[in-house]
Amino acid sequence: MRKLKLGNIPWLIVNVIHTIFFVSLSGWNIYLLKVITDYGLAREMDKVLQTAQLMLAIMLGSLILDSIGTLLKSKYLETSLKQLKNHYIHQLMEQDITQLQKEQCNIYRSNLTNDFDRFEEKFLFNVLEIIHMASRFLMSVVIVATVSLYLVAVAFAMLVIFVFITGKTNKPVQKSEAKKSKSLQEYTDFVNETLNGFEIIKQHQLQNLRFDAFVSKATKVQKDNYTVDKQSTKVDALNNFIQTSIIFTLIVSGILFARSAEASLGSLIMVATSFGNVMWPLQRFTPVITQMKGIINVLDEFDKNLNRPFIDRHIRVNDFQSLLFEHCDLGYEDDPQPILQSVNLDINKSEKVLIVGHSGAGKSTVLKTIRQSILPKNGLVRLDQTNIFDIVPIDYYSLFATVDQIGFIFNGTILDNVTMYQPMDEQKVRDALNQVGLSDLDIHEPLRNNGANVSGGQRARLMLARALCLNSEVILCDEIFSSLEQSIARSIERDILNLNKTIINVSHIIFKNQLPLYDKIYIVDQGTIRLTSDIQEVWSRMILTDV
Amino acid sequence: MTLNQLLRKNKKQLTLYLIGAFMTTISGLFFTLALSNAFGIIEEADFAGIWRRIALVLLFAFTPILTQMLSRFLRIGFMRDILIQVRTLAYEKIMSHTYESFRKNPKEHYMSMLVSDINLFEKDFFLSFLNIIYSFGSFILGVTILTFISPIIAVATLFVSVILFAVTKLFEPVARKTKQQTQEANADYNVQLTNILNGMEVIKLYHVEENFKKPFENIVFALENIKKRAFRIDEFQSNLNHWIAGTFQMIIYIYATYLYIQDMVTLTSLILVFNLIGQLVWSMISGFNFINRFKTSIDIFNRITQPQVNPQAVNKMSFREVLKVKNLTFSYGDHRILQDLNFSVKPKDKVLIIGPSGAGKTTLLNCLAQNLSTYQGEIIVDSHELRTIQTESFLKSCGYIRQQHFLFNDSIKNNVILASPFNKEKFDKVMKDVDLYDWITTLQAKEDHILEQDGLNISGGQRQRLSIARELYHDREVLFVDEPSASLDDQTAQHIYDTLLNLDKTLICVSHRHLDYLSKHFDTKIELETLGVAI
Repeated sequence: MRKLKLGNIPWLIVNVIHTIFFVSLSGWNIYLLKVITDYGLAREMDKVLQTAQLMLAIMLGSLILDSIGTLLKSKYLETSLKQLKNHYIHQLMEQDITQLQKEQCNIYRSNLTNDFDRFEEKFLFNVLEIIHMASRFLMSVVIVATVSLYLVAVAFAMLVIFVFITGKTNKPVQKSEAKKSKSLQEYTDFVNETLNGFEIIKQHQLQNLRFDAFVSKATKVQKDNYTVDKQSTKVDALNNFIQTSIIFTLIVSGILFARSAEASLGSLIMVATSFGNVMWPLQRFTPVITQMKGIINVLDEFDKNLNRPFIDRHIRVNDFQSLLFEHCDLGYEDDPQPILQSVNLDINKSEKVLIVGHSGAGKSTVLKTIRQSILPKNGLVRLDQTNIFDIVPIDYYSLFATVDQIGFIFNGTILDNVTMYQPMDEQKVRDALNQVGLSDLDIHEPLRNNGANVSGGQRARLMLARALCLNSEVILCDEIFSSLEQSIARSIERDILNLNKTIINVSHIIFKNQLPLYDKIYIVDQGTIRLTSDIQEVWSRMILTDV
Repeated sequence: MTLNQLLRKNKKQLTLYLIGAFMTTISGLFFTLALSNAFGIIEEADFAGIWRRIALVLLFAFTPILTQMLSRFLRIGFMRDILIQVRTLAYEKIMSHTYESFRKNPKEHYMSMLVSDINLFEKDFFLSFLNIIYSFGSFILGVTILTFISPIIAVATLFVSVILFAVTKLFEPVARKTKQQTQEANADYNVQLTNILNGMEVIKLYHVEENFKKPFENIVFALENIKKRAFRIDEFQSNLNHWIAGTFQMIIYIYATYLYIQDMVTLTSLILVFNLIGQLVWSMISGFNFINRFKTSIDIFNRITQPQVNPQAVNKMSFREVLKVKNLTFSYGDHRILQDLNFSVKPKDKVLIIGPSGAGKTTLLNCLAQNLSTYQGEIIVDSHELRTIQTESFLKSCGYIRQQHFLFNDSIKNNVILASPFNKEKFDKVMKDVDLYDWITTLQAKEDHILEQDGLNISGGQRQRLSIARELYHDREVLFVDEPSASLDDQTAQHIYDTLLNLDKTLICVSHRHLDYLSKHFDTKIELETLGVAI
């Protein structure tokens, strides 16, 4: 990200060129100010009026140029932000699935909203301002040079001193900015949790409890902000003091110089105006640089959040014959104890496989491993002869369609949710919806808030329709029957078992008369998985299910 | 609370802020004085005079630095306090929603109110407030001084300020409108972000990264485009004002030069007028530019803090005799979900609601649990219509186990007991009731084990049982239960059902599974059928 910090370079260059033109025009006007004053002092009214006409014409020209400048500046900001945001998302999407962390979600969100807003305000705007200030500074130097080269040397010496001071004084401000970023993050996390848990909070009347916590988070944000303000006030005052001393020394000595050299009053006014122009950018220069340096850390944070070690996966596949788990211990990264030990699975192409077991026994852990959300603690998972973590991600995932227990419903229409924005024949979508018993839904109906406006059963069936629409070799089903009524679940099971695909169904809900349709049944029990051919054994575990 | 009331509430801090803000107005004048004294050096004949001038220059040049610093210290405390209160008000507004009104907008809508909108307010409100005070303060001061030097020029200055004001007015509607659009675009952007961030794993699994980049790019495009427009409008207005002001300054200078040629003013006055006019017009411009920003920031304030108006309920919840549902009908938009339902429930009854998916089981539960109020017909509890019963009093006697199990990023214990006092015995019993006791004993930190937000580090069944445990621990008289066994295997499910059925409470339960078993054990069965009627 850091190398993109200056935003869109071509538009930046256009802006630089434009600013130089614009500033030259106002420099011309300052020069004419000298001319008109000298004519005035010579009491030549005709020439005063002539020059005045030219000056007014230049001012009109400035208005036009200024308006063009507005267009160019806004174009620069727009293209730069687009570039940066899209780049960020691109980087995010490039991450390997094993590197995705749900808890990072809020950090990404905060980066893409708060932090980008701050970056725009405190960096990109300031880039434009610095260009403007630098141009005005140079223009003033040129004008002063027409009077005395000695003064030019002094002006440059001032610039060097200011840059030096700036480097020294902004350290504490940078630190506080980082602290503020962190408290903003905590604030955003808290808000997010509150909004997610709105119903529970209301139901249990936790408003007051949460309210106090909210106030303390909000207070922390503003207090950290206050610290930043306090520190930058001191830094600014110090810088101001040094700047003002130098500038007024210069102006006074300039005037003394002009007085002894008996320069014209016009030149004097011109020098003063130019010094005013030097002073203005220099005064702004320090706070602007301070702000920019403070905010540039944000981009480093972005890089830190996005950069993951590169994972080399290079083996290409487009089909498979078997998926093997060989003596695998499965579990979560942050938990040393594996959930399942020495797992051996053998799944061949077109087989229908059922994995059953109690709630919490670790059924989903198997699927998460297949989906590569977690790495096996021990042992290997092979697709044909290849370790699945060596396969090019896109090739690997193309083989699978997953119907999830939680699943995520995007904000978008039903159609978008099924196709996931891939080009697809609408009829195919309708067929899939038909197959899962959702033919009565309008495919253009928008879904919101992770599917809050569909029922639990409809949601599960949408997920299934999504999987059916993809031409994947394997369909992974993770507890898809849990929110469906019996008859629909039964018919969906029959439908998917009739598909000419490999089916891996993880479920605690089974239908006795359909059990023989499976080629293999695994039971998850006592920390491991074993193959069984005894349908009665499987059935005896399911004491409640209707026949 | 309106902004006025908020400011009045912080009178002391506001006074300090205003003093601080007015302090800045002298800085421009002092700078002019420093400059004119520097020019005065030319007219001084002897060294003593020159030194006197230099001393004055130093005095006038350094005072503003001190006042600036002092001014900022006086101001930032007020800024901190106001922003804390604005955040709090916005938060209160969101929390004052009923379930029903809360769900009318996507979550991101509220998120952007508490994050981006407040950032926008923070940026615009204080900056414009200060600049308006600074600008108009300097303006009044300047015009007063000018009146003594040349009344004609003072009147001309006032005239130009009227023109500048008119220009500002001209731009006001369009500036406000684009600000509003920016906010809407920001909210859309947030929705799209949720899609990508929360759906990242799904996106990866389905390898549709490229397909999701496109809508994201579109939304970034829309947002940045509208921001671009807003920027252009602001800037163009400011360009126009600059031009008017610059031209005016020029004309006045030529006029002053003419006066000088006619020997009507001295050289020093000429320079003073030139400088002062410069000061005045620039401060006017910035003042007018900031008026629109100030107004839009107040718009933001009003939008994010205006409290939700909820219907006032007056009755207390009391369920001693009967809950009667009369001709209950409910529609989502054009879709009728429930039609003419009639039934009644007595205290301690066990009621089972069944029906095919989409038949409105959850909807019925939501009507009964006061989560939906736009139904037709009546729900009478003892003698009061449900809608007239105060929510707080209702919630004291009713619990609701929802299908979505939300867990806080906190310990297991705190997730169950929430704000109630901890009673170890009761807690353990509840955990046994939901069949989680053994699991907890295997955890290193026991009930203090920390759950991630939304319980991402535990299984679906454990999440479900924790949310059941939460309601059991709170021991309400009436329990609404939506699909308590969805993620559970049959053994656990039976255990949970036995627990629920053995409670000495009213139980209203939705299920689509284990119907044979359940039908035998519940007192009343309400069967819904799919209407799917479009009206």
